[in-house]
Amino acid sequence: MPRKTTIDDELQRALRRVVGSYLPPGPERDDLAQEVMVAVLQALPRFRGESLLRTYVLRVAHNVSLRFLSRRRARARRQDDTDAGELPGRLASPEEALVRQQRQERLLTAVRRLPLSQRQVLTLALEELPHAEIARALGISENAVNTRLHRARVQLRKYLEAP
Amino acid sequence: MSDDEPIDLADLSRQWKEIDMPVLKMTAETGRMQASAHTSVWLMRAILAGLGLCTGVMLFTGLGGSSAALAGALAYGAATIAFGVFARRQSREVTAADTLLAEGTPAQVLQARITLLDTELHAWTSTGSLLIERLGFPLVVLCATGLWWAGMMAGWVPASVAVFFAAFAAWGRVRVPRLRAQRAQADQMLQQL
Repeated sequence: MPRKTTIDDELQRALRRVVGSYLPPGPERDDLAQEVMVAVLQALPRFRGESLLRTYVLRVAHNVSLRFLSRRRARARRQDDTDAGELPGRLASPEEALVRQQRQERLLTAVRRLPLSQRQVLTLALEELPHAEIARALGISENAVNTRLHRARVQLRKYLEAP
Repeated sequence: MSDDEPIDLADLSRQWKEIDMPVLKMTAETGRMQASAHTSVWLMRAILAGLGLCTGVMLFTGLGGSSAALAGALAYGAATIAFGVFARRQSREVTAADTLLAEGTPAQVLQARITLLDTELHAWTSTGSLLIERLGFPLVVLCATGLWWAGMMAGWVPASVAVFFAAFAAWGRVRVPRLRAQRAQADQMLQQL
């Protein structure tokens, strides 16, 4: 009997964050978000419980994002990565919401500047996946996860602290 | 703090998880519709290939009437068969790629993408369009015009075949450079992993 699996709201938010780590706001990101969701829905019946559901779903999201990026046209790749954001503010005060929104956009933009190999490891670590699960999702060793994650954190600090 | 000091992961993770983006078109219904459209596209391509083959056979067996028409019908049939075979093969690979998305590593996904692009490039090469693409667009137009004129001398059937080949060549002229660019992009990404 096939395993029944569902994607809760938190996992859906995590999927959208993965998409945001690959593309700036715009129609292309909407397309990618949709493609990721479709792939996840198609992949769910094949989930055999060999890893955490979260690992499985995030791996699909990263793989679909990579495939999507490899299909993009040169024109799209030149798009400015610092486009105006569209993150919703969830605070009561508009000023606080704006500050938070700007901080989140800055973080997403910095993550998008990282090399692919570091970006994937970092975004999975930020979703609090154990290193063994990250290694399984990306098909690399735990040592490689540690090395890439360290480099990503150093690089990210530089990006975020740059004026 | 030194330049090589990594950023605090726990604090960053908290900030990261606060990020939420609006739900746009991501609904299960849309997903089902897209999956269904994907199947329909391949079905349509298979039907087109079948129709092409039937047309080729029909022209070859009865309606040709001249050696030019017979040659055209043969070539038309061969081209549509080639694309039918290609579509079937690609369809299989896409199915495999869907499994790969769930179970493969990023490197395997990109490798599969490269294989898929190579397959399509190979299909173009085997149908001769790559040669036409290399000759350049003016020569393609010239050849198509010449074929059409020669076809008109022999009747409407060879003229139609000439128009088909001109359209086919124009498609290849647009498609092949895009495929090459996409392959280069995928290859570059694979190197980055």
